[in-house]
Amino acid sequence: MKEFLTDGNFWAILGATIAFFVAAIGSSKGVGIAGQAGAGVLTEDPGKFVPVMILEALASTQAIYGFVIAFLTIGKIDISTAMALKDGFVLFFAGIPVGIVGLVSGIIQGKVAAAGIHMIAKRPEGLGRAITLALMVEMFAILAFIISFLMLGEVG
Amino acid sequence: MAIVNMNKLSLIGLKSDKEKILETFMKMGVVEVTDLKEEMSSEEWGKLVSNEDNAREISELNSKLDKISASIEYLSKFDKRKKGLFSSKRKVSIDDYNTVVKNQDKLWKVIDDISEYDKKLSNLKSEINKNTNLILNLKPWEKLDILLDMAGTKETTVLTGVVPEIVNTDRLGEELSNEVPESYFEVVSKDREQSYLLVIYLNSKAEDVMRVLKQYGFSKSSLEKFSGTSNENIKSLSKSIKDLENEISSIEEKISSFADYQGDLEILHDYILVERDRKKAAGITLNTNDSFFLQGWVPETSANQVKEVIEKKFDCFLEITEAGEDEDFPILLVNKDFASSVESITEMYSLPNRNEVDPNAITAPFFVLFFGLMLGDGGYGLIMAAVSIFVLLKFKLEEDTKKFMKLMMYCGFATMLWGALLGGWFGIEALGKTALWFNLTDEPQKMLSFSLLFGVIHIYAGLGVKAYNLYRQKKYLDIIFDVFFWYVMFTGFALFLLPYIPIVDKEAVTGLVRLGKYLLVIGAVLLILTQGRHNKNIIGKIIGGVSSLYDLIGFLSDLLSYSRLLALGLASSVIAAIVNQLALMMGFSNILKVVFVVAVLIFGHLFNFAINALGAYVHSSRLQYIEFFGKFYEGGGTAFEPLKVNTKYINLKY
Repeated sequence: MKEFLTDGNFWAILGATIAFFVAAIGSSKGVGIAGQAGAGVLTEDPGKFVPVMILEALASTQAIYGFVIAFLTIGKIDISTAMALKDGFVLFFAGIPVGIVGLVSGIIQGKVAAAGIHMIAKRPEGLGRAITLALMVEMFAILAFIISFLMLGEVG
Repeated sequence: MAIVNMNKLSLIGLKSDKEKILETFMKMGVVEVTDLKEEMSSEEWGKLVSNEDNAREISELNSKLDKISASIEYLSKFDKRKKGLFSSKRKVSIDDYNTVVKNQDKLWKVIDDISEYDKKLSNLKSEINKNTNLILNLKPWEKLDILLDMAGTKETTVLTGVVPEIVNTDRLGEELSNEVPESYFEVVSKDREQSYLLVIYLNSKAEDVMRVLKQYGFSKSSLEKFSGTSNENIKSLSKSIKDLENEISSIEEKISSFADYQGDLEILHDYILVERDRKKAAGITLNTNDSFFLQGWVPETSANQVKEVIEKKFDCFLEITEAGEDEDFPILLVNKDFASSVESITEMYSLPNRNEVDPNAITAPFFVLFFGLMLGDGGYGLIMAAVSIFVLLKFKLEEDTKKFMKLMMYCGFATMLWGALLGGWFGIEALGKTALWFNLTDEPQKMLSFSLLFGVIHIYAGLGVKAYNLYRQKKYLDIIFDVFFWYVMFTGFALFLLPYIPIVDKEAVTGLVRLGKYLLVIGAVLLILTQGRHNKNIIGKIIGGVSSLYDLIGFLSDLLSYSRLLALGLASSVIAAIVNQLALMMGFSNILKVVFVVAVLIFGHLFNFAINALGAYVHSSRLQYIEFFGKFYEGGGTAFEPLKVNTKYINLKY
């Protein structure tokens, strides 16, 4: 067991898991929230499908960022040889910003997008504003992605 | 180019000329008639003039439009004309148009016929439904070969009915024969819900039979309404359904024989649409007994032409004056090709007001370049540019679609440019070496630094536009206070932060950092002294000045916001590489695998393109809205909506 925990590979793979798994939960939840709001609006007015779809898709980026970080982390893992524990820890922690921030911002962005969908149901010309409001939340996921990415870069 | 200057138009004319004057305006399409209802509420005006009350006429025209639209929609099912992906309005000559309008009685008959047939069709359809339901009711009794309306003989009763499916019918039959031997029991059929039973018994035993049946939840069926056997009934019902269906198809054939009228109906629709718009315009003018008064806006460039045409044709008083300094006129934007392509982006935010410069010309290059950087992959850009050029050349497009396609084309070019600079072509790693500048995936830190630099340029450009706006409003001192001083402080701040930028050599920039410190302090002092100048008392002035320094935090967060340029560009190029990697994992050892590889490549890249193009579009818009427009843009203009021939289906050729 001790051997297992002192191998950096274990920590690296845990980091990749967190990066994707946690961020993807956030995106799923966020897109789900927006999707439910969207379906409600579409029953009244099917013509609004495109703007509703755009707003619904906004919260999916968190999972994409998590996916990229997880994939790059996996690329640094070679199970056949042991990885330095230090490197493993760096990769582990690199997964955390994009994962956790993705979880929270994904859900909240979904809620903002849902509110935006309700807004464009009444005022279709407000699409630009609705998108902008939701993108305000996205900023934090972007910053988390950059931080995670820069952390990955520390491991050769 | 920019915002078109508007002139104010006032016209007093004879009431008898009103419709004709409005018609002339419509044909010219350059005059917006303003609603004068507010003027009416003042006593002075209220005594003199009245509104033309034509709300009823308008609603009549509206209901006519609904009727025609319904017929057109109905006929479009039988429309054999080819429709393209991007349909544009049909061209109609004025002669054809006039003929249609002259013979509109015939068309109204067609419309009435169609709605009549439509009513008939829905009646027939409900009849068919009814019959189908009856057949479904009779189906379980199909095997029963006694007359359905036979209630019994003199001494016996014939009873049909159902019990729920869970009832054990064998036991029921047994019990019945035990209790009442003088009875006949038969299970006619059984489905998932019920068992269908026939019971014949002596009238004298009715009570006993009923007692047994009730225990098992028996309920009587209502077959008495039929005459003859169920089989006969089913046959005759099926036959009548067939007849009804024949009738429906013959009516549909009749309707489809009207399909030739569809074109004419579209013309009639647009004729009435135009008439309605004219009535609406007439409704917002002011009237006395014999004359009317209207006010409106006309672009400066068309003012003379309007004056000439109207004065030549009609006896009226027409005055066209320049708009007052503080009068808000409706906004019409005229831009060159490239700048006009981003008009929709700006309009989504807000139209500029009349006192500021139209930002499209300067938004366009930033939008397109940021889009390109965030989509990041030259291969995607190539496809995007190619598709939009193809659409632009191949299809006749409405004005808005055309602008959007042009925007996509420019965005495609910009993406190719960045692809070439940063070595991204469909995520193929070998091509990373072809980068003209540096390889994005190898040196993300470098890109992060440059993203921030692009942010500084963008923000400075925004401040520059603000300076230009102030210059146009002749507020020269404000240019120094509100723009130049900020430049000083922002520059100081940016220089001060230089050592924290990843790719900067800390030793080399110490001189610049010292300069930055001085600039930062000088800028801060100048801003504290000037930013509170609009407040009245001295304390307010100081507080206003000091609190303006908070904008420094805003500047920092604005700058960091540009890191999305790196993040989105990186995400799309890394995912493109991942798609390639996943596809090639399979290998090419047999034909099935090759097909699989190709499928993964196509769908993977298509998905990556779709999600990142959307992302680049919305994020590039956001950078304009928050970081760029936030620096100078007031907005709040209303769009110029001239009275014009506004059609849905046709374009009239004069």
